[in-house]
Amino acid sequence: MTSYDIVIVGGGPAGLAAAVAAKKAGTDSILIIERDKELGGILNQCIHNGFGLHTFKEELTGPEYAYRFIQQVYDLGIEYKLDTMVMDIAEDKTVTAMNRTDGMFQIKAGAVILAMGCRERPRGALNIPGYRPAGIYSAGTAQRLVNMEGYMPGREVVILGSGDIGLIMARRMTFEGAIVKVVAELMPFSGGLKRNIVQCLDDYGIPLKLSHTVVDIEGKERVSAVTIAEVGPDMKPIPGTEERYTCDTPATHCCSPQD
Amino acid sequence: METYRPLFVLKWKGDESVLYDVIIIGAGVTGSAVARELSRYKLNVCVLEKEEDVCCGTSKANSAIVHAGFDAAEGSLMARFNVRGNEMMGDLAKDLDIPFKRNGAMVVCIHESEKDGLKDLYNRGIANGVKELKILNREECLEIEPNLSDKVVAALYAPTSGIICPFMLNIAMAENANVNGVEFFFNTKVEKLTPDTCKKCGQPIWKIRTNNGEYKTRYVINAAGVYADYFHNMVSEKKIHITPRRGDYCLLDKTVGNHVSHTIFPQPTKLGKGVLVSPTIHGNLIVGPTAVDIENKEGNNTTAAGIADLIAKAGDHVRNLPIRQVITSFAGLRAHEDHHEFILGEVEDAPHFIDCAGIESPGLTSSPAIGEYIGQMMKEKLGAEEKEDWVGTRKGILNPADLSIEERNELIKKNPAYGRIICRCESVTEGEIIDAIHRPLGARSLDGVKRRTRAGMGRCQAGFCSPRTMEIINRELGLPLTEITKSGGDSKLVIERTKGVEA
Ligand SMILES: Cc1cc2nc3c(=O)[nH]c(=O)nc-3n(C[C@H](O)[C@H](O)[C@H](O)COP(=O)(O)OP(=O)(O)OC[C@H]3O[C@@H](n4cnc5c(N)ncnc54)[C@H](O)[C@@H]3O)c2cc1C
Repeated sequence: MTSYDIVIVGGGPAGLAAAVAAKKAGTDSILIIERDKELGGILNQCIHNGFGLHTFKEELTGPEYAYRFIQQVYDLGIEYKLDTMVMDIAEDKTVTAMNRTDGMFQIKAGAVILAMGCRERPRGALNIPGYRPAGIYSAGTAQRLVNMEGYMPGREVVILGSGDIGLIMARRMTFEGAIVKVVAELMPFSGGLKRNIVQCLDDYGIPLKLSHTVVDIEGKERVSAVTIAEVGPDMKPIPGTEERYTCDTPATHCCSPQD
Repeated sequence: METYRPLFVLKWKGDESVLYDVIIIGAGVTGSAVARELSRYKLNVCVLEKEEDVCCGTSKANSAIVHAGFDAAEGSLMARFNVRGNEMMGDLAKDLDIPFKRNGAMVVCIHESEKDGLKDLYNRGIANGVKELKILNREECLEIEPNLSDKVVAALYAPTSGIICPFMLNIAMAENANVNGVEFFFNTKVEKLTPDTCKKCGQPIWKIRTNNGEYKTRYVINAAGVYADYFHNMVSEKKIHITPRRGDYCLLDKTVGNHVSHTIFPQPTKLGKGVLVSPTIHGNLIVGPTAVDIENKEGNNTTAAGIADLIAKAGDHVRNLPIRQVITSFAGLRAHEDHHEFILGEVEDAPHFIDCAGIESPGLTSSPAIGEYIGQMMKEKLGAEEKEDWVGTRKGILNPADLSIEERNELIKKNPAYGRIICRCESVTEGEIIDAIHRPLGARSLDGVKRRTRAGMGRCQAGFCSPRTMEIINRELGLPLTEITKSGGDSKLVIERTKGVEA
């Protein structure tokens, strides 16, 4: 079995930074395992700017920021495998992974660093009632479709949740000619940066409704409308506060840690 | 009789000049089970389905329990077909290469005063012919199911009860029927049935108008689920009435899939078997259903009230139910006929029109038995001969997780697509998805792929794999991305290219 001192699962910014730091600290045998076709992770679809202010003291887009790390990985000659999925990590730090060319293989790791980022919680986990039509995306999936695949999921958008990706997608979809009708947030405050609320919503006249949740999704095949309502302190919708928005793409945004 | 033409290719539309022996309306479990049984004979059979795939109606959204058969009224068709279907399921699952497990069911009594109810249920089960039934006392209950509510007094235990994948059952029966010569026409909605007489033989025939051409057949089998009353009433003066009775569910993550190992029922009430908690055959935990009568036959939307009601009831019989681990909620519609009974057989005042109506729970369990019964009936009516080359078995989609590492590497060497994971939650490879697309009655939508491979059924509910699966469908079927749907019809996933990208 091949062995490495450090196996890093995930080739996003965290994994890349960890690899670079470990290499600089003197560890030679490092392997990064990335499941996507390129290094960079979620940053590749975050084409807005605002990255790198702390680390590089300049304002970069996601892919530019990622590339700074990727370049260091190349320069330092750190090994990586792309399009490779880690299937299992055993207690003795044997990592089982798989890809098209190597098949299923095992690696003995001195240490394993988990840098898999986060996984969005789906609509179902949020228990949003209504039909199950097409046109409902997590903000991350919508972002991938628009920024990486180059397709628009819809023209009239309602965004649920005001985390940064939701806010940024509001602006991004507006740029693409979509009408973002509203961003609804369950909590009485937004989880996003003030800067993003100003630059992504206020500047484009997109309303942000705090303490609001979805009470219904209409449309059997494709989404046709979404009804939101204000919630009380118990987080339950207050009858009589419902507002209905016609739309074809509600996007939810909510992250949970990767397992 | 027309000669039988085997046909393995998927056609979009039937040949209007053909007189079919049998046309089945609906490709749910009932229609597909009947189709498979009819595929044994030298008959010309087709299935008309309004949706883009099999398993798009009630058969895709239910508890997926292979009921033991103690619940249905003594002497009813429900009891008879339930018990027979349960009996058949083991061999059928083997033949069709689909997962099935007899995990056993417990009807849990939590009030001393209601213990008699268990005894009644036990007696009914015995009368229905259910084997191995037992009444367990509190200690015995907790011993085999430690997470039962502390209030448990006793339980009826039915070891023959099982869990199955309703999609795989439906898909496998349809696929097997198709390979044996039954044609399936999708996106074909039956609109009108008109009785006619065959010019050659003078026998009654039916003309069927659809949105996708006209069809002619000697016999019609009405397996249209919640719409079965619509067709029945179109041809008969003796009206029936089906109420869609909605049931909401929560599906919980696999991390809590073994919270209970048996299917846990409360004691039944007039509205049905109540909210159950059960492991699924794929290792999730399912909680549901509610029971709400509605008007809309397409109304399988979940509601906030339904889910709230479910969550309130779910904890009654199981302790510390980890309801926060929900990954999705969904709803299904029972085809509740006013007399709560299956209606099976030729309609008195509509010769050559055969009902499979009112197929509510235990319809999934009963489907193989209904297929057997209707198959036998049609054989006699049409004097059909058996085919010599009928193949009753089928291989499911290969699941690489069942292989050893060596076998898996052998497979990846031959076909690298098995080395690429597309759905990371359920560990589904590209190879499985390609298989699902290209096999008989293959998948053409995201939901079609999902029901065949489980890609998109896991914790992230397709957030990650949707764009990747779309790319594969695009490549394998040559469908433009803007034409790919979630589940047929207008359920398109993306609508146009972003600015400045060449189409
Ligand atoms: C909440 C719930 C829980 C259940 N739990 C269980 C259980 O645990 N165990 C069990 O055994 N059973 C259970 N059932 C019952 C079981 O799911 C059904 O009995 C079974 O799926 C019915 O299958 P079907 O083929 O008759 O109907 P369907 O699956 O609804 O199929 C009917 C088909 O007809 C098609 N159709 C309708 N109109 C037309 C038309 N005009 N033209 C062409 N096609 C048409 C529809 O599109 C559909 O595909 C449950 C049901 C529900 C709702």
